[in-house]
Amino acid sequence: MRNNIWYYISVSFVFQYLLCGILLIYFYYTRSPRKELYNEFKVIKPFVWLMFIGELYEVIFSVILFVKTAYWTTLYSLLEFLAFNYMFYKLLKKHKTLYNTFNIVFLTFYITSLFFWNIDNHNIVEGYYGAIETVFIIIWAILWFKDLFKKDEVVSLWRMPAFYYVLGTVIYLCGGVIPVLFTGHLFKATGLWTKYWLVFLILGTFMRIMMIIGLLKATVKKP
Amino acid sequence: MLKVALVDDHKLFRKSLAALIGTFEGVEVVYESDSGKDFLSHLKENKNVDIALLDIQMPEMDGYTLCGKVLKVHDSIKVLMISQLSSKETIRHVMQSGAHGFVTKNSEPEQLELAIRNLDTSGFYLGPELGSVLKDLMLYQQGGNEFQPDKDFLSDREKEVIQLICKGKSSAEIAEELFIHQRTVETHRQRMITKVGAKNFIGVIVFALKHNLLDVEDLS
Amino acid sequence: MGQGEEVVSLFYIGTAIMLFLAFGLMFIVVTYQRHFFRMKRKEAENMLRVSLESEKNERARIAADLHDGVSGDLSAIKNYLSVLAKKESVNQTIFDEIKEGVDAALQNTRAVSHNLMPPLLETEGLVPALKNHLNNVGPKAQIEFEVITNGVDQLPPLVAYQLFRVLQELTTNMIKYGNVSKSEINLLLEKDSLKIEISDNGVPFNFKENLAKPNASGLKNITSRLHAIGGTIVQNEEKPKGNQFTITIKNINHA
Repeated sequence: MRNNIWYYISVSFVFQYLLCGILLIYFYYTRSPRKELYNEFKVIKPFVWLMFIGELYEVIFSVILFVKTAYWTTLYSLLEFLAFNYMFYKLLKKHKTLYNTFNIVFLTFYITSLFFWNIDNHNIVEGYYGAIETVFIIIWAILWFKDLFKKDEVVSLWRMPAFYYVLGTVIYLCGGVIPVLFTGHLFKATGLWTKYWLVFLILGTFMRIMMIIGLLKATVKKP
Repeated sequence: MLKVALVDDHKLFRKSLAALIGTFEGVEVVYESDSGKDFLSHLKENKNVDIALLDIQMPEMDGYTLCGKVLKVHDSIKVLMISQLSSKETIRHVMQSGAHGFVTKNSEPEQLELAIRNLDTSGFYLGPELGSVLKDLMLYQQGGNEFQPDKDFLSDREKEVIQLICKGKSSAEIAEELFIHQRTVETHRQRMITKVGAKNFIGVIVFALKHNLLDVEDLS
Repeated sequence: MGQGEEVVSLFYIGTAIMLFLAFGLMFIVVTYQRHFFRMKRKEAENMLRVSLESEKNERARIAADLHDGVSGDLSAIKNYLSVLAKKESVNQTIFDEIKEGVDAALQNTRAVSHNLMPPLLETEGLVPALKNHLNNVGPKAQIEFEVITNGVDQLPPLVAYQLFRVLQELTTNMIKYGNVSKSEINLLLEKDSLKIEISDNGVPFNFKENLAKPNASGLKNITSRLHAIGGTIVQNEEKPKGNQFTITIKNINHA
């Protein structure tokens, strides 16, 4: 697999993600939040840490040390969902029951599925995690849109960090739901992975860039 | 007996006016109505009205229009406009409509009586409200004949006639004072009205004031 | 593997559709949001305009009723009093008192009616109505008002009414607080816009500051009326003595 072009492509994405993770943590701690956008600044804290530590782990252990990624990717699915769920809940500042319900449902499904987990099928199970996550996040996005229209004044969307968060996650999850569900099966059938996983990787980069832009919009250079 | 007709849509006021005019000596109210149209139809049959008091603000037909129509039907009638408004614009409108005089609904009864009598003798009535407004009216009446008359535009005799009319003298009295026939006085008046191009004698007075052929002090 | 190839293409098609939907959704949100808020603002402006217009109409109606009905009745009473005086010998003092009372009632009625609806506004226009109003209130307040215009005649009725109210409010403020002795109101019609300059020689009065105060309802009235007819008011802050305000209304013929 090493000599495969796809291998190098997927590694490049890992490093892209690492770069994004570093940028995120860097910006988060070297810039100060705008007063009126403080909440938007706070909500992505779990996400920022997940990106940083997650990519660091992935680079060190998976690329350099060649430890099997399966355990990490399964865990990552859970962490990513928790981070997004938290972000939207804190962003909207309401629907506590919805937040808890989502958490409980997802966790139940997750824990139950762990009993059926085996290293060969982990991609396929992750697909289901992604599907549930997509549905829940879309619900959050719709609620956010509803709130947006209820506002009294016009706010330029391009200046709202929340817009970038929502844009990034919605595109990433909607576009990625079919890849996560199918790539496992396609791999089993064809032995090719990255070729089909490419879409997901690109969307991942897009999402991370959106989150960075959102973070930048929410902050100013520290004086 | 001076025969007076009243047209005003405010019934209570009209009746009170009729009662008041009834107390004036030598004056009687022969017709009263709240509708200009009815008055016009009445005039078609009976021409025995000398003076018509018309309210300005009426729903069916306003006083200005009614005045014009009345004068068309019965040109020897004298029209006295009556209203609650007394602004410059109202008075200007009154002048343009061809009415011979104006009183406000709030006038003292003595003034009303004077107005009616003046209308009969001099053919017009300029009340105190008009006096102060007249100066502004002179500046206002720009339309129409914008020519500068020379000093001899009105003959000396005509100027005398105007001055005496302004003092409130009747044609008979003027004729006596100037040693001329009463009919000559009437002719002078008519000639002046035509010369100036006014609708009635008030227009002549305004013209004279405007072109300094007359002084405001000459008006009593 | 024909079937496999089909699955692969379905995979890409499905992903493309999902992406298309997601982007479509975001696009709708972005474009619709602006439109939505423009509608909201238009609706608010419309409501303001409607409420101002209904206020004007209602006031006109009340003024007319008051003027026509009550004044006429009071004048009638006066006439009957005169008739009475002639017919019988009345107690002169009481008679005079009654007459005075009726006169006072008449004056009050007229004042209230004129305040509710300036009499000349509908028939003659803004400038005559304004001049008339200032002629009435000026002498009592010992202020010399001067109204200058370069020929402002046919304004749309709602615009004329709101402008009158605005100018009435400004001049009332002058009378109440300003210590003003002279004031000049200049109405200029320039091409398609109307400019009104109001200056006085009284106590300096900062419009913006006072607008921010809690009980600034009169000033807020001014701004909302002007807003409804598409006008703005600016204060010349560099005037050393007295005050100068400029009201500008653009597109006066399309208002």
